[in-house]
Amino acid sequence: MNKLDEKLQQLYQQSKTEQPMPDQLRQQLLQLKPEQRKTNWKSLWPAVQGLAASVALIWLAQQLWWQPAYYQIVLQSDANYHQVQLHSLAKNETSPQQTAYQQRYQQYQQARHQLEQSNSLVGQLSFSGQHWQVEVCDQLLVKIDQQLALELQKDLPWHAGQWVELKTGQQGQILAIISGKAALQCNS
Amino acid sequence: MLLSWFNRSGALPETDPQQLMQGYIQTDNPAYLAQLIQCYGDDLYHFLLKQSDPALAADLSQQSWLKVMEQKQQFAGHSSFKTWLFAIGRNLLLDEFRKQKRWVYEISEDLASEDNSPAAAVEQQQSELKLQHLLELLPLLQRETLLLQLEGFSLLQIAQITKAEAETVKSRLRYARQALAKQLGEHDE
Repeated sequence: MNKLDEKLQQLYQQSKTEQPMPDQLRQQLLQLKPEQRKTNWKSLWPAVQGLAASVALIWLAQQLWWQPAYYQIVLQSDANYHQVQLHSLAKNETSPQQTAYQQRYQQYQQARHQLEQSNSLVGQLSFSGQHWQVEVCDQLLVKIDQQLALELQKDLPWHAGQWVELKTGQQGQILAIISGKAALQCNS
Repeated sequence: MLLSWFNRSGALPETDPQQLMQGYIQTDNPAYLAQLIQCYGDDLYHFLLKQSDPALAADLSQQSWLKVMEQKQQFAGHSSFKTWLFAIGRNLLLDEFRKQKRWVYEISEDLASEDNSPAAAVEQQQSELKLQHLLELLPLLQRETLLLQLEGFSLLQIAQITKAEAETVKSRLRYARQALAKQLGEHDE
């Protein structure tokens, strides 16, 4: 240790001796207790961001996978009628069933073509045991699935044997079924 | 005999700071901390005081010991307790300087605040030569490095505390000693 070191060390020790920690501070330190942690909003920010991102992802996924019920008209064969249509509210089919979808789309186009010819059809209501149906002579049988029937009956309940008028939209879908004013005269 | 056993269980046989800290981490017993404060409270306060003022040194001392309590689990034992404690105190001091804009880190390295005016020289000769006067001649980084060396830290420990390379620490010490040697009229060999 050279003279400079000695001198500095001497001054340093002298300074430490002359300037010790004040007693008051010593007492405060000995009584220190960790502060109650206050909610630090800055530290919560990453969690908030994570939560927001999760909510956004869930919403996005819901938008992508949620499929609204869509109106479906399926043509069925029946020996007694020229054409049988089943009107239903169905969930959209997924892409792997593309063939079935295409098939149903063709059927839908046929039904649409049939119904577009007339926006109003008169028929007789009946209940098959499974679903309601409207019989238009032996030309057409329109079957209505339960969910759609419930939708259409909101204002006026149906009863079997009732003559009704089917109001259809441009695309053949049933918009309403109202009480028919007169019975349909069928040409046998 | 039973009484002596009870007495022994309440006592703190450890005197090694590392063991005291480990005891504090494991048991949360404030007696361990009290012993550490008795050991190093003065040293840390003095280190902070030489770079600030009594009020700030007291405030930063309290904050440092609070951090020891709150962050005790982060003490891994890779460095000595004193090194860890001084690093905490030094960081708090830097934060305070930044708040007060007292210190621009980049430019303070090479700027000596040496006042070579004749009036200052006379004043210095007249006044009793105190450490504080000498320290005030040094830029902050050289001052803290020198203080840490005088406190007994090794080059490696100073590098850990100041987060600097050992070579940087060496050069800061060299410049500091050259400046002080000039003031004290000593030869730094």
